[in-house]
Order: sequence, then structure tokens, then C-alpha cells
Amino acid sequence: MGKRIAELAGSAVLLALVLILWEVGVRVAGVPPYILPPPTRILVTFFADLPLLLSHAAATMAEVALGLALGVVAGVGVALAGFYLPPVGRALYPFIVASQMVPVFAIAPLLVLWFGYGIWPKVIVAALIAFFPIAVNVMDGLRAVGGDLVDLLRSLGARERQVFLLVRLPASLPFLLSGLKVGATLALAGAIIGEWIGGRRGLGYLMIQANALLRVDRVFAAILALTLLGVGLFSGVALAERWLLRWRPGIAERYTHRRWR
Amino acid sequence: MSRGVGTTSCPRAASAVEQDVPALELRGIAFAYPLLAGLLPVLAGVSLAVPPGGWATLIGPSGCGKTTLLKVAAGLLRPAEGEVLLAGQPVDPLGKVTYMPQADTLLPWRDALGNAILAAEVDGRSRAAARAAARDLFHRFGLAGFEGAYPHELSGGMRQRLALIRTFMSHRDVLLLDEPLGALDALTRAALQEWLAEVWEALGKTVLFVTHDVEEAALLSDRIYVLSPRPARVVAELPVDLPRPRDRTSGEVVGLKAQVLTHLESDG
Repeated sequence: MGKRIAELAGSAVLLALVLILWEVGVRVAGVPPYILPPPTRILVTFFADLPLLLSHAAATMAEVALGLALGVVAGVGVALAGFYLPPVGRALYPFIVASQMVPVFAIAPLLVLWFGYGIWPKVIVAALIAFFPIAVNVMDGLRAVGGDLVDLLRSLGARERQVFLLVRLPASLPFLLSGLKVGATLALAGAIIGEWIGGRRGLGYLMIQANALLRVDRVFAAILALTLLGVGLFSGVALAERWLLRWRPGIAERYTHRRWR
Repeated sequence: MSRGVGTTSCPRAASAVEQDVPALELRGIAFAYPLLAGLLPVLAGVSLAVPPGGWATLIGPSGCGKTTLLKVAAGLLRPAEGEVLLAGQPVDPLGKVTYMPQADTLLPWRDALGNAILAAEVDGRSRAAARAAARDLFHRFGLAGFEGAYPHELSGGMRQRLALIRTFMSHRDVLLLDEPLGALDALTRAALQEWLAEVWEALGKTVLFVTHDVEEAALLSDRIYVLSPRPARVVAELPVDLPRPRDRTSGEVVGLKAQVLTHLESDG
């Protein structure tokens, strides 16, 4: 525990140093606040705009949550189809990879054209981005199950449904969760891009609008909100992972856990 | 040795309790793995029989096909020739016997008790009853207090004991054990050999056991089948009529070891 605090203290010192340099630099050089406001001003704006930021953050979160849910369903679905129907998997594979070569941001305007200015274009962008790491990870997870484990269950007369529920599903859960960790942060970025291109809600929309009004302090406040949101999202998945995978010999356990010999 | 593919009709009534009907019988099992170029013959007509409650051991050089034979007996591989009989009936043994693979196959996400009741879950039996039975076995076989431990928290010997308890808990009469003590250090191994002999006597299961440890075979078996290098066939069938528990330093056990070794070496 002491070690962890020491690590965090190092990062905190570094952050404080950067902020002080920024504050002093901006003030000494006389940079106008509509170009680069000092951190203290951003913080004041952040708290002054908190209700506004929260309401837009809620809209962004809704897009990300829906997008992630869709990405998980599609990613897990494609992984299962690829695993149980190898010809389908082989047929899908080049398209799954190609879907990552096409920049999702480039098709965002098309999505706005097709789905309007509402929540759906952002949801779809978030889902498209989250889909890939989840599909690839779950596919690897399903393949990673040892043949001996499957043999053991089959020798007991287990049907594939039981093999799936008793072995494949729990064995691929760690893979799903690491895909979700990557997917969640990327989906947030995707939703923001969607909001830039069209819409009237969300932190991305707020940033574009504030930028046009030269309210750079508000742009930064929105970035701060977005960062906190991202950290929260990642931590949420990480916490879920810790709880769901509590059976795993973890790093934390090396310090605290009982071990019988 | 091979009796060939016998007649499949089985006029005998299903009174499997008869002492002379083996609980498990393999008749003329032949098997080959398909390779890129042709077939790799692994089993060349292996026949053996284990009476109810008996312990037969397969011993042979590494890679001779012992694991393949066990997988055939489990129904996981289909033999090219020959048949598997349970209590005198030719059957597909899949689901009717319990196979314990050589590798560590405990489910890491389940605690010890959850692992022990796996077969009950596959069978759709009551989990509560299985848990109660497992707790009982944990007590009898020295794992009491570890019911809630995850596999990675247990030592190698305890994991192997847990895997064996899970195997014994399967409600099947015939157990196929593939080198269950192979990965353990010598001290743990010796302790588990004695433990295993006790558990087996207490539970009255029929065991087909694979090992390449001659002493282990001499200590545990009623009957030892010595296999040739691949493709495997039975080069010797040695009945063992020594009282239990056996002392690994006794003259009989040492003599039996020598006998097995002679057969192993004679067939190059």
C-alpha cells in the first residue's frame, strides 16, 4: 500500500509542476485567455459551468453506454459465430479487419446524413469502435480453452451447451473484459466525434459551440469533464473485472493473499 | 494377444454383477492418427480387461500410446478396430466412464468445492447433495478447510488430490486415470500413492491407470499391462497378488519392479 501511495505521489508532483508552469507562463507572457486560459481560470469555469457540463456529460454517457452495449452484443455475436461456424468466421475475418482500416471518423458524416442529428449516429460510431477489440478478444478467448478441459467435460457426457456454460464462457470472460476496457475508452472518443459533426447535446457539442464563441476556458472545462468521464468509465470496467475475476491470482494478491502450502 | 474384432452380439443377460464379467474390457483396439502423409499407427490391437473394483495399470515407454488408449476407453477417440465393453456390453463409453486427463484441468474460476461437484452439474444432479458429499470426501481425504480455496491457492499435491476427489465424485464405476501423479515431486508423490490406494479401497471403483513409474505400478495395481513402444500392443500381462498396504521396500514389490522392467526392456 505504501508503495502505491509513493507511485501516486510521483505522478501528483509531476502534474502540479506542469500546472504551475502553465499558470505562471501564461500570466508572465500575457497570453490572452481566448487563446490559452490559465489552469485556475479553467477550474473556476469548470465549477461555474458544472450543471451545464453535467447535463451534456449525461447525454454523452448515454451514447457511450448504448454504443458499448451494441458493440458487446455485436462483438460477442460475431466471435461466437466465427467460433462455432468456422466457414462463417473465415468469411467474416477480412471484413472485421477491414472495418478497422476504414476510419470510423470518416464515415461519421454519412451516419449523420442517414440517421439525423439525434443520438443514433453517435451510438453507432461508439459501437463500431468498441466492436473490434471486443470481437477479437472474445474470439481469442474462445480459442484459448484447453483441449484437455473440453475432453474432461465431454468424457462426462457434457453437451456443447454445457461445455460452453461451464468452460468456454468463464474462460473467455477475462478476454471480454480486456476488450471492453479498450473499447470503452475508444467509444467515448467516438461519441465525441459524432457530436462534433452534428447534434445539440453532449460534451462534444458543447466544445464546438464554446470554441466558436472563443470560450476556450469552457472548451478546457469540457475536456476536463471528458477526461474524468473516461477515467470513470475505465475504472468502472476495471472494478467489474476485479470482482468478476476475483478467482485470478492477481498482482494485488501477491501482497495480501493467503497461500497454503 | 489381440482377440480381434469379436462378435458384437451379446447374448449375456445384463446381470453385470457376475464376478467374471469385467467392468471394463478393451478388445483388439487399433488406432492411427491421420498425418499430412498417411497414418501414424498408435495402437496395434490392444486387449485388456479390468474386473469390477479392480486396478489395472498400463505401463510403457513415453509416447507409446497410453493416453490414446485411455481416450479410446473414454469414448473421446473412436478406434479404427476393436471395441470397448462396459460390464460385458459393447458400448460407446462417452459419458459412462470418468476420464481424468494428464494435464491440470481444475477450473481456475471455481473454488475447490465447485470443482469437486463438476460431474454432478454435468449430470444435472442436485448440487446441494453433491456439495454435501464433497464436503464429506474433503474431510475424509485431508482437504477439510480448503473448500473455498481457488485452485491457484493450493499446492500441487492438493490440486491433484482435488482433481482425484472430483474424479471419484463422478458417480461412474470406471475411472480412467492418466498419470495423475506424474507432475509431482517425489515426496508428495509417495504420499499421494498411499492416499490413492486408501481412497480406492474405500470407494470400490474400477480403475484403469496410466503411469511410467514402475514402482507406482507395483504399489497400486492388481494387474499390470506392459505395452510396447508405438504402435502399442500388450507385451506382458502381470497379475499382482500382493497384500495391501504394500511396502515399497519389501522384497515382493522390488521383485515385481524388476519383472516389469525386464518386460519393458525386452521389447525394443
